[in-house]
Amino acid sequence: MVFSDDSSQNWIRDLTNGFELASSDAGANAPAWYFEYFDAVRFQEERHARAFRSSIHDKYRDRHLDLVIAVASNAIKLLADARDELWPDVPVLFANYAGAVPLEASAMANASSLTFEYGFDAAIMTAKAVFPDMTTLAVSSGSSAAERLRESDVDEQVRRAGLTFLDIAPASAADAKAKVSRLPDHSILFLAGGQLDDSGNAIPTWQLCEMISAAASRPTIMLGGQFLGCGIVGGLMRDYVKIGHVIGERAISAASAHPGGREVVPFAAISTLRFDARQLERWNIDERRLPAGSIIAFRDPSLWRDYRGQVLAFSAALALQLALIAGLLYERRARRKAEIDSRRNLSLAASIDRRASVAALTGSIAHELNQPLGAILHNAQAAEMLIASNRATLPDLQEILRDIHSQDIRATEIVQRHRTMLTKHEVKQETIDIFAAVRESLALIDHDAAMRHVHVDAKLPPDPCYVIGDKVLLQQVVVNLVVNAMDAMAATPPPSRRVAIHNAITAESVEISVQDNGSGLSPDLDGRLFEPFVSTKSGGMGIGLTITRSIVDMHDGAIDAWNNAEGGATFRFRLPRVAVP
Amino acid sequence: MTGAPVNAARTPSPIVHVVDDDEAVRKATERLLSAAGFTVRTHGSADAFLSAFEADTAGCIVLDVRMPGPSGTELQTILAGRDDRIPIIFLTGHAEVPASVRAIQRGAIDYLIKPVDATVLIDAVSRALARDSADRAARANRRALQVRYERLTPREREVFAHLIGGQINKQVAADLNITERTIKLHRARIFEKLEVDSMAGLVRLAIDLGIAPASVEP
Repeated sequence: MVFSDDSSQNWIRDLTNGFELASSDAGANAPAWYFEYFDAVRFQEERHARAFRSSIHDKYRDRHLDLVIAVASNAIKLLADARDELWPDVPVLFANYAGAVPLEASAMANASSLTFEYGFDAAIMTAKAVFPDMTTLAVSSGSSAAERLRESDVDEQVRRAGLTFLDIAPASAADAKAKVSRLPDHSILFLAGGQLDDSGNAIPTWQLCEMISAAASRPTIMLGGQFLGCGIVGGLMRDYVKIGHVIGERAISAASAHPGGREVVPFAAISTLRFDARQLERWNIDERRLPAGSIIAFRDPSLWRDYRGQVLAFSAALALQLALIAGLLYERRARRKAEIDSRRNLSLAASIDRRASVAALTGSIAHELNQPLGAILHNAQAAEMLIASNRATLPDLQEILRDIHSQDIRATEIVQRHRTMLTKHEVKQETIDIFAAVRESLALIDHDAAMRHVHVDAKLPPDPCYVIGDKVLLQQVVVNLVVNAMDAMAATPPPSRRVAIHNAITAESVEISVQDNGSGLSPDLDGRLFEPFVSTKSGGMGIGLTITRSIVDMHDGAIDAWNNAEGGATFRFRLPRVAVP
Repeated sequence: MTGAPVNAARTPSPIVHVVDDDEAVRKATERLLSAAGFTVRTHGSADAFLSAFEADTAGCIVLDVRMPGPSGTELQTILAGRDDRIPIIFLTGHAEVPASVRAIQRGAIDYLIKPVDATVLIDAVSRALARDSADRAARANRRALQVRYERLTPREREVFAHLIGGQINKQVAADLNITERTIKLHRARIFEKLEVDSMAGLVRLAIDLGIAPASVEP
């Protein structure tokens, strides 16, 4: 990649950022880039071009290149002259503004070109929308030959837009300052470039823009988006990151395709509507006059001081709730080892396992909490905006507060529900509807399943079916079996990730089975499936199924498992039924 | 005021479509964006959006990734198959990196994690509307130019391709084996039909339409 100018130029940095984007799009296919900077505006001597060519020649002598890209006129011209000497067989891509690719380059073999619409007329139309009383466009044009050429028909375009054209051709920096300090009323000053100062040395465009914009008696605009902040008002401006992205993308595809294409990229694809808030204030421009979707940079942050407090408060609430969950998860971590060692107390061991399962579910807790927290945040911010702009009515605010209240209750319920699963638990003997218990278990894993792209298909009858036991422990059985089933399907393609819950009722008992499409039971585990510390999962403690069986046992039930003929495994547990309470 | 334009004077306003199955979230987002000056419509599902959406109105979509029925990403796929694209901002409860990369690669404006701060959302919506308006302008411009180009006869198109390649009348005449006088007539008609008054205008139109110059014999 050969650039016309030196690497300190903002636009070249933005272009390079654009290539980064294109490289990251390409992933593993991303090429290695080499960058060279010709710096032709500051070093116009012929001997510099010769030295540059010969240094490139030496540098890349033994390097295989797939494509050479020349960016902007000076680099294109250099490559057109030196192609045979440097890279006679490597395809070339020229990137430049429309109409600025030199003839000798466009006639070259094995070369493609990418031209970017200059966008001057679109920029003037935008300026007219922002400054409706504008009658004159003053143009401070550049002084290098290339710039003169590029802007050669600017006057015609200005007139076509129905404006008076005023040429500010400054002889020196001091002359420029003097001229722009007495611009006519209803005029806008377009800075077209120009890098030379009084003594003919290059000065950075940014500095030039700061100097002229500060001295100007009327607002200034530019085409290059990289200059927003130097004193220009803004408008529809060229975005070099977008341009770099396009060049990078085309380069990556051109390196593997046939050269010779000519492509023109419309200005809309490489421009962004941006304004400088400080300049809008300086020139007293009402933001409501800006085109829809304008981005306003450099906004005074004080407007947001109040909002920030609000945001921090909600962030703190979120952090507090997450800390609560984390705390509950880990409060007895120190005791965990001893607890595992003394698994005699089923209730205790089951509580450890519940914590492990809930750890797997924290993702879904966060997701569930984000819904009400997000709604609260937006409601509060909307209310503050309405108040700040004096548009708030009492009924509006009442309604907003009511919604915030109900979302707060919703968040509390989510925390409560998960907390029940976390606390240590006395074994109860109650009459419960097993189908309702299963449904509640599935609701707990709902988000986790969706995240893993698992479809849970539960065929449960509407009529209740009663068993005697502990609802939370029995829910733990279902959660364990379904989480196991989902774990077993990690390698199953998403459309086939399906967990089916079936039931069978007899006069004395009820059966619930959990069937998956996963990797099936390992033959290594034969007969030891429900024994403690047997696990095929990385990170698994190997007590999930042990506890599951213990819980089923203590309810006078039975559990078994087998591999399905069509793939995957099925776990089934049976519990004794009781009559209607 | 906030980052959004209060576009009371403009008609018709672009519409920000909020698609989310969670009613409370939907309502809060609508309230926020309305307070920021946008015109907002809400939809409870991708299907509801599709049946209400009119392709020729300007706007953008603020889209929940995960919903019952067609998901946000499925809706993106459906819309990508259409001519008039509308920019999309995704909202999600989880930072799912591969999914966000995919969505952005397929043209989404942004992929934001809930809860989303107002400034971030408003900025994303502003960018989406800017993109939509630029896309619409470019499409309309290209359509208008295309209509004009289609007025040319096959011969005129040949002459056109030679002219924009920078050839003078005499060269074109030699290449096409017709007289220079005929070329001049063609040229006048081409200018008239394409509504341009200069070679520069002709070249710009060719560039806008992506028409390549005829290759010149060496």
